[in-house]
Amino acid sequence: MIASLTGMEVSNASLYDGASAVAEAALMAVRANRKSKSRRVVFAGGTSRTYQKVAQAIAGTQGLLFDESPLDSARGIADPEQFLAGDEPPVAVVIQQPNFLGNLEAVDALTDAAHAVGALVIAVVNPTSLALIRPPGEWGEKGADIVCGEGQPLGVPLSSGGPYFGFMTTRAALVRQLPGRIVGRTVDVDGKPGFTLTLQAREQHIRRSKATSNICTNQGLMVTAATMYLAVLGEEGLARVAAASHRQTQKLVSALTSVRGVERAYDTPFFHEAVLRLDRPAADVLARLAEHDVLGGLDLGVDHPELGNALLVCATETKTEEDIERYRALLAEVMNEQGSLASAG
Amino acid sequence: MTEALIFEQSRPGRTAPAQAPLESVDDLLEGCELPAAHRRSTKTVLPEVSELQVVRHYTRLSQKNFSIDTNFYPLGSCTMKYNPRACNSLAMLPGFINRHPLGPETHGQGFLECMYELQDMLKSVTGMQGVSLTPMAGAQGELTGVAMIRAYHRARGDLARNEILVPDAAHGTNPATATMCGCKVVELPTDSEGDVDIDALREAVGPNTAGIMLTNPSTLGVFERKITEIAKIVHDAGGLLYYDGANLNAILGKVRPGDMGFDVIHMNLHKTFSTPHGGGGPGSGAVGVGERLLPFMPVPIVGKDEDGYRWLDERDLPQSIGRLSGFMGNAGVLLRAYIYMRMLGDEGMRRVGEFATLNANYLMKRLEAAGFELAFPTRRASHEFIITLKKTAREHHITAMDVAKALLDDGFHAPTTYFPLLVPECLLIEPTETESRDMLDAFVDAMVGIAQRVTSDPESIHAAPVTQPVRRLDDVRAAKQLDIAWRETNDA
Repeated sequence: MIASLTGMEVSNASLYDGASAVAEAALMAVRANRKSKSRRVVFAGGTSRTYQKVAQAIAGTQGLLFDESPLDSARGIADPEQFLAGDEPPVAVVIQQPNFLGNLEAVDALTDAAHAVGALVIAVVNPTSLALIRPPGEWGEKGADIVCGEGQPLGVPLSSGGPYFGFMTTRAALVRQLPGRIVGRTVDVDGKPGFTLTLQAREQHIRRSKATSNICTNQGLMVTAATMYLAVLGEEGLARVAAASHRQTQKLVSALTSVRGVERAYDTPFFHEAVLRLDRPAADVLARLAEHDVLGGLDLGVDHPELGNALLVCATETKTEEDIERYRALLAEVMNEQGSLASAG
Repeated sequence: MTEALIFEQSRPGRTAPAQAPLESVDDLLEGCELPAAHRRSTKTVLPEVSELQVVRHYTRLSQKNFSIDTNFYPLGSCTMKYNPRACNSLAMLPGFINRHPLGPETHGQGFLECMYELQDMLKSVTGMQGVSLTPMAGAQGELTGVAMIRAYHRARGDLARNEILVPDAAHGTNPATATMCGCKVVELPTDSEGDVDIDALREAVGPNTAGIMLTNPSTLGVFERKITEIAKIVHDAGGLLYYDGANLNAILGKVRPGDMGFDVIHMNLHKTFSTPHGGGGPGSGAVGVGERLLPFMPVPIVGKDEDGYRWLDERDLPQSIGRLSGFMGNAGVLLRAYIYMRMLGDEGMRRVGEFATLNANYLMKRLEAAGFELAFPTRRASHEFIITLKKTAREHHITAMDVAKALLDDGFHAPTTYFPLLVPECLLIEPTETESRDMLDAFVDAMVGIAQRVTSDPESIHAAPVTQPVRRLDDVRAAKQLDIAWRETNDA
């Protein structure tokens, strides 16, 4: 299911979460790209800063070097012109679609630019979005090489951050470089079909210090839940969830930007998240909203101070018209009240 | 009957309407601005089935599983014990399960308080000075431990220390982890009684020694008797001691790694502290550290000040080795561990250690009396022990794998086979504290029955299992003719 959603040929049986999957993908890319002598991995500007930090913590000790390419500040996406300009070609690039700011990247141009300099392309994707948005297997001329991401949207509860599961898919040619468990179909002594773990020669319990990863236990239960979620929804159901998420976000953004002092930060197409620019610090506004039990989004001032007073909002298919109106009305009240306080002071 | 794959049950146009938004994709997207260049045009293999089909399919698949809920499961080094249902129900309360990871601290004080207290309880159980809960499994806990050891040496400018000593009996994740941390692995031999070879250790330590990774009790099912001596040798050489606390069952409430001289420990909370991890997770590999490694712990950690509980991050611990997950690790697993420890209390946890050890020793003695050969006959078992079937394999061509399969037909999950690697034809047996004496006796009866069939009816053992959903699978074919993703063309 995951291989097909991402447009790739093979999948492993899960990693811990989306962030650590990116780290494992970077390590895998170094193993797989034997032609490149570089140990440098470039994140497209707009890739989650948390994912970048986790990759650094997990893979940095193995001599991988991480860079971030410039963000086109007007559009909120990586600038294809400046993507790999000037520097020594990296061993791999990481492209997040949609990116952390919710914007849809120019994935074809970025993928082709990376392949042109001999770098492998690691795609980081939201699995729900793939029912609606072009999968990494179809990016550019040749498609992405490794795809990974956070599996939580597929029916796994939020639960303060875990347990979730990371997924990873790739081309058949790179299957022996995949980290983690892989399940294969075979037959028993009577010729009856059955399933077994396979290609275990890559793994820590056989290869010990030469394994593709130290991963052992992973997130089996969450994967089982996600499989059932995808089975119940099917292709049409998942596409509806994706479309409804997109539409509700579009409505949310329209509603909130009707409030004075709130505008969209970028005019770039998005999937189900978008950045709003406020006329005052997002943290203050969020704190006031929280007093009324509305958790209004993520203050980007912490991880992205360069974006100014920026607030990341998101809606999924679970948000109703009433929810959106309640948020708008409350935001109008908060912006008005603080605005009048500011002018009075 | 073979269960058809969910893909094979798919019929065009069939849906589970209650589960998706009612409007069509086209209606939903009317007036939206999603450029055609970004739209997907290719189909997926997601099945088209009814909700009832999904319920039946996955219920039937679950019934094919040999599980702790149905059978005795003495899988050594995995600790397949009973996890109280209450831990699960409480951790699934809506306030826990629906909490957003990035929700404000003001709206998560209850959850943060649980995590803060869990950190404290784990400190007291292990005798360590600090605990970080973020690693998501044992292997990530190990990575954390070794990364902290490396960061400690680097912070002191001691750049030469890049060798990690690992006993040859260690779990495969130990050497794999050391390599992942950019360290060189130096293997240490084990002596005939299952202890680390002290002379070899003395030879191996030096100015390049970053540390040693030890499991105690070891994967050989025995306590490392010379632990104080080992600690002294490694510390004197300038290295640190890493405790692979994969399993705390045998020592809970009895001894503490901090008191043995360890500098860092990871704990597989899913094994000792109540998360059903069969089928491969989720787990949790929380780490505890001594004084020297406190500044290097991974973030976030839960702290407490006059305003309540709050996250400590890179700004609070500037020397931290960083972040290992998108948020704070497997919070749901941590909650189960918290609830389990609160339910047991000090007294209950001591009884876990006592009964885990008692059950293992009882089972070991009964199997020995029944004629099975122990790998370390002079030693007392920890929470697990090893028998070796090398004679049976040599004289009757019945291997540890054959016996493991035969046990399935008798209603027992097999013990761990062929691990640790240095004991030939081994079965690593861990009964756990949650089994009754009746169950242990029934297991002995089954083992004796199989031993008798080794001579009277060897064919039945070679043929086993015959009562399971499948018989022995062709692993070679699985690897040679890779079939690891469904394709429409598989239909043919």
